[in-house]
Amino acid sequence: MKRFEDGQMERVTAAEPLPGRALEQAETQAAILQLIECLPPNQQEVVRLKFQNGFSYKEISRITALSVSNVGFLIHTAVARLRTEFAAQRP
Amino acid sequence: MNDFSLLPDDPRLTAYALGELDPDERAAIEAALHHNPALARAVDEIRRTGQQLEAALAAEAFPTPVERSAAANGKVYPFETDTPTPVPVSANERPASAGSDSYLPQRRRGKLIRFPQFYYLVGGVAAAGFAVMVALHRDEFEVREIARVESLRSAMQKRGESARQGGESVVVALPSIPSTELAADAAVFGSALVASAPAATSPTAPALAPGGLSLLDQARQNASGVTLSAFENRAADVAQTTVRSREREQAARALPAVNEIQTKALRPGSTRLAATGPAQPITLSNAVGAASGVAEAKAAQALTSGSLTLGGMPSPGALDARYASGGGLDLYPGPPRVRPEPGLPLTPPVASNTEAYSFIRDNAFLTATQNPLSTFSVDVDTAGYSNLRRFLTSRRLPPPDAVRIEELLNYFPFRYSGPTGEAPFAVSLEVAESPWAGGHQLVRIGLKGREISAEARPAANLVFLIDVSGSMNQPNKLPLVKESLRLLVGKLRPDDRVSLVTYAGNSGLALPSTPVARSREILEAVEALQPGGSTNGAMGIHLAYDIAKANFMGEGVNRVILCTDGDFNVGVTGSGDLVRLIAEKAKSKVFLTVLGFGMGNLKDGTLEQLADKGNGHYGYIDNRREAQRMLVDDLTSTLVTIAKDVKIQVEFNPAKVASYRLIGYENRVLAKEDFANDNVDAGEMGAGHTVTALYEIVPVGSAAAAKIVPAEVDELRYQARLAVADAVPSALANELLTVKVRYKEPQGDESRKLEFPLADAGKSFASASVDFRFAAAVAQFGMILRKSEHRGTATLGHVLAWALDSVNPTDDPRGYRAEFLDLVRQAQELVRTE
Repeated sequence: MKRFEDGQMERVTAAEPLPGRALEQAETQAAILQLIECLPPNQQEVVRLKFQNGFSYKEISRITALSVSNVGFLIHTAVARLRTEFAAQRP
Repeated sequence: MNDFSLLPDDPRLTAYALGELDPDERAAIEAALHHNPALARAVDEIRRTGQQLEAALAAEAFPTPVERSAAANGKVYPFETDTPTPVPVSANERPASAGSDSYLPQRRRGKLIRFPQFYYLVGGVAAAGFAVMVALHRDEFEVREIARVESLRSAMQKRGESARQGGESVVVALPSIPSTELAADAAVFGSALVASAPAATSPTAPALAPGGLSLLDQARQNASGVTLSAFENRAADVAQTTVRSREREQAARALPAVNEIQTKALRPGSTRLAATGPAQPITLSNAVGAASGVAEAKAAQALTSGSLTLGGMPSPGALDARYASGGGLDLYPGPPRVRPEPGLPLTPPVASNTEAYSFIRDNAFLTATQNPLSTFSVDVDTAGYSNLRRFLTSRRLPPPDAVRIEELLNYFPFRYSGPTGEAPFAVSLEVAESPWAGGHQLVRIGLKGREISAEARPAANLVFLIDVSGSMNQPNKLPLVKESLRLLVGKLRPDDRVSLVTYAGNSGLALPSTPVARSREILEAVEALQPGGSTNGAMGIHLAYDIAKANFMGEGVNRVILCTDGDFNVGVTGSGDLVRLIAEKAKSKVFLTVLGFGMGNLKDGTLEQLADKGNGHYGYIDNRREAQRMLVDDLTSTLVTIAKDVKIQVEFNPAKVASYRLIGYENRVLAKEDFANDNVDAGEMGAGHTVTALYEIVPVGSAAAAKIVPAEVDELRYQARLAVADAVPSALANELLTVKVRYKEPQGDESRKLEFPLADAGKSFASASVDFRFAAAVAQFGMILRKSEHRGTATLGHVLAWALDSVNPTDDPRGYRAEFLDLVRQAQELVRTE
């Protein structure tokens, strides 16, 4: 049996999150996905393009034929709505 | 003074939080944030929400095929939209619903058809009418029908063959297929056709039937114009919105098709419809007949006597047939197209030859004292050789500018030793006497890239950008493209993804990104490609890169493969603009392969530039064997890039080298400052590629050296006389030159350097290695065809002799060198008759 050296304790801990945490995360993500599904279709579209496919505003504007400011407004509204709905969901 | 009355509710804050603002706007917002901590908090929250959304969406599961059938919402393609129909799925899976109507331009929404029953009624009437008409024409159809059933059956047996035959001319009667399937298919097509009706004629529902009929009438008389534009518009609309995440793939909807009409511009359907002439008179009746559910029997009948062309339709499994035929059924016209045979000889040159080659001036001899550094970018393009082969086999000498010596050399896989360390390639050097100029020497620099086995290759995300303009409508163009694609799909692994994008008029998504596990769909989409329209290269490039980015594989191969004859004649057509566009796209970490096809219109110069600036390489496919080579045998080389921006700089020792000349690489030459400058783009090397470069050297002390007249350079007025070469340190006195290579990792941005000095061993040509002698023969062949002033005293006869001497028939994998000998002989004949 060896004593821990200085600093070894930190290195011994596992890097993965606790099992409970992973489950929580999955639930949160599922909840968020549900909320995204309930967005109006045009907002949902733009949210997916931005956050799932990683396109910029300009690219989204080109893809959806909306103006850049329209895209910005839709994303802003969607993000704000998702935030409030998510907060409202959690106890 | 805060002139920014920013509320936490301002969209600009979100844009700032997501990093979308220009630098000056960003500065303004940051200033406002300084003053107002509430805003800063809002920004933080937005950022956090954004991250959560990204995480949640990234973790979203793909709907599996089972789910898809369960959902069965009639989505044929991923970028289709849905009206919400909740399906009971587990919490973690996305309900197959809540698609966005925004794909199609918002203006259509108001015209949504809200009364499906009306459609059914009208449809039933139309179906009855058509059925009657058809019954009258029964006899003619029956004979044709029998023949087609046979051809379809045989087509269906062999997948590969079916693709070939079926694509052009298999016209199917469908009694062998259960009528429910037919109805479903018909519904899908009918909806496509019906979908076009609003576009083509009138936008409102009641006009559907007459609209549809009139469409067909028009179609019957002279369809191409109307249907073409209608569908191309549709394709364009849809194409603009086609980038969707992968989960959106859903099965064809059985019923009610009609409700979804506004969203059902089936991309493949539309592209195909766009491409060809009169739609079959039966399809509309089928569609509406099926939709009505009433005239199913009639619909089946109608279908059997109709002539729907199926692109190699597989035997009907319930869902697959619907999905696949959704992709595969073709509405194109009666008379079977002439099937091009694989061995079809090249057509004689088109009378109006608009091929374009950029002018190339040979590199001149440079003195080592005045120009000790020679810098160039590597190039693995092979188009020059296959193009040359195309000319010679059609018994013409190539224009001198079409002959690029580096591309001739790099076609041949020389047997240099591979890399052993961590560098992605190994460099090998050799020097010997030059055979075509007494007293001169040749230095051969060879790079050999690391080989990657087919199994070890990372997964690929490929987007094929295919030119389907009218100019591609020749046997050695679009059919050869299709053949190449078929070969390629056969070689890919199930976890690779393929997408087909076409550009003609408006760009269209012929096939959304599909895993190769579903190769049947891919092959059908390939079959369905039809030429027609003019070319809008820029839109196609945008769409292709968007799709590549949407399906980006972090650890995999992401590539856009452009198949074209080089003719861009709509939209951004200035070659400069196009090249700038592709340079912009190259920054997205998606690589490019440019495949040129055909002749008479080959814009060689443009294509080479595109490949250069787009981080890619350029190949020319003159026949099936070349397609086989590039896309099957050398697939990993074509797909996987092992080193990016590879540059070579050679420093010559003026004590040993009087002057030198770089053979080839004329349009790859870089300034000496570009070597260390990582911002300067250079060529890419693929797995297993070999790169060969030759320098012709005049050694100090030789008779030739005495004849060199140093170039006259004016004396400097403001500085002391140009520095004379210092005495070379004795330790290095024996070195002839040093080769330095810089390269970047494929995803990296910083270059690394390797250095290799070379000493002269005074070898004669005959004692040089086999590969060296063969390379010299190839280079000399190129120089003679270019009528280069530096070709010395050698003739094609000499070339043949050297080549024969260095070709060992038992050691000639794939017969490249034997083929080279044939080309030399061919050239000899042509030169003699000149």
